[in-house]
Amino acid sequence: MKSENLVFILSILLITLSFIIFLLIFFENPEVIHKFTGYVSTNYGYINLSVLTFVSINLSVDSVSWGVGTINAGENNATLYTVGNNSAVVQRGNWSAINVSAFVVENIGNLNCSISVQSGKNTHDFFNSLTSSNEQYKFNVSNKEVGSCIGSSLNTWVDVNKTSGGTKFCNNFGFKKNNNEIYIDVLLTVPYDAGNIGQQSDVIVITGDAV
Amino acid sequence: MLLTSMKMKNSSNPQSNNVLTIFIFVFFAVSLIFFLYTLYNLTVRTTGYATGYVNLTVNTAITINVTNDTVNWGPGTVTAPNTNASLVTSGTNAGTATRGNWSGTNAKALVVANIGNVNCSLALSGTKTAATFFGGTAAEQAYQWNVSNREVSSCGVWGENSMKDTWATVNTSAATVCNKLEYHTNMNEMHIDFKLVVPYDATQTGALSDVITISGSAAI
Repeated sequence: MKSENLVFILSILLITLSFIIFLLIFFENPEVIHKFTGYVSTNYGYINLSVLTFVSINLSVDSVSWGVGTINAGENNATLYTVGNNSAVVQRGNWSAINVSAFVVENIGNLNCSISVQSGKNTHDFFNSLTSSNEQYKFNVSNKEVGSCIGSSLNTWVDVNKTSGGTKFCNNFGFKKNNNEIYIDVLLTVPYDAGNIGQQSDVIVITGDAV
Repeated sequence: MLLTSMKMKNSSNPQSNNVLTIFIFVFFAVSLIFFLYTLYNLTVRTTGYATGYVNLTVNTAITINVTNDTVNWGPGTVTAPNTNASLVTSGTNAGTATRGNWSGTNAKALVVANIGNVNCSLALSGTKTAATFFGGTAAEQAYQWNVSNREVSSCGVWGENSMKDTWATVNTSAATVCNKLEYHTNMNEMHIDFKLVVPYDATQTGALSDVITISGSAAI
């Protein structure tokens, strides 16, 4: 019995002593812990950039030019209008429709925007009909690419507007490829009694505001 | 051992018990010697008692330093009518922006140096993918890195090879690119270049950023 008790006590002492030695070693050599745990140095790098938002409107067709012509004899007026990128139409006159097509407006920014069109002249300013009749000057906005423009006045001939800001045709004009182009067709009815003869022109302003 | 002794007790073999007792005595004596030796060392070091001895311990340390820690492109836009812009760093040269108007003046590769005193492995991870970085059309965007030696033979043993001297998509989980990054001067630096392809229709706009975690661990 004596021997067995001694073995038991010594075993307890041995375990206790081993534990103390274990703690002392770790207390003295903390890097041992690092070795055991795979001592790691961590640092960081940073990638920074700023993507700016912008509205940019591009006119890929920026001119509607009818050239020279006259009203057919016996008519009170002649009507000229563009039809997208198809052949333009000339009625009761001899203007050439070759190479005459609608304005093409493209949103090349990275934001949707509205589109307003303002003319430099109204109808009478343009032709100055002596009888103030038989004269027209209109715009018709339509989608060149499906879903490009959302607005309430699409596909309709609307009298030009020379007041500041013009007429808003698109409440939301998209910028994403294949959905970001519209036509602005132009209709002119030239009166037989136009006071303005010779070369006539107008400048239109197309404004896009971020929405 | 205790269990063994218990079993021996039940076997009621006095000779075995005696052998066991002797073994335990020897064990105990050895442990005691170790204990006293350790205690002596500890006392000497903490009290400075030992005169005539110069003691020092050179610890091994892994320290990763990012000497150029920021790739900064600043503000810019994709030049219309392009559908994306590509921003690429090229080591210590100024970065290059194509199809966009970002400035590469402050866009240079990250430079990682092992300034510890042991070789280490090098693991990298980002926190974003191209989609979370930019949004927009998937086909028009990319977020990639390219890891290379800045000093010859800095990485002695390559690990994950997909981004070694070539462009690879940034990982969001740690990828060990180098298993053995040397610590010796003139062969302990690496470049991490980045390529950003910014889509024209990025849904994430304004200031964008990502953090790259660079970890050095004991070399394999």
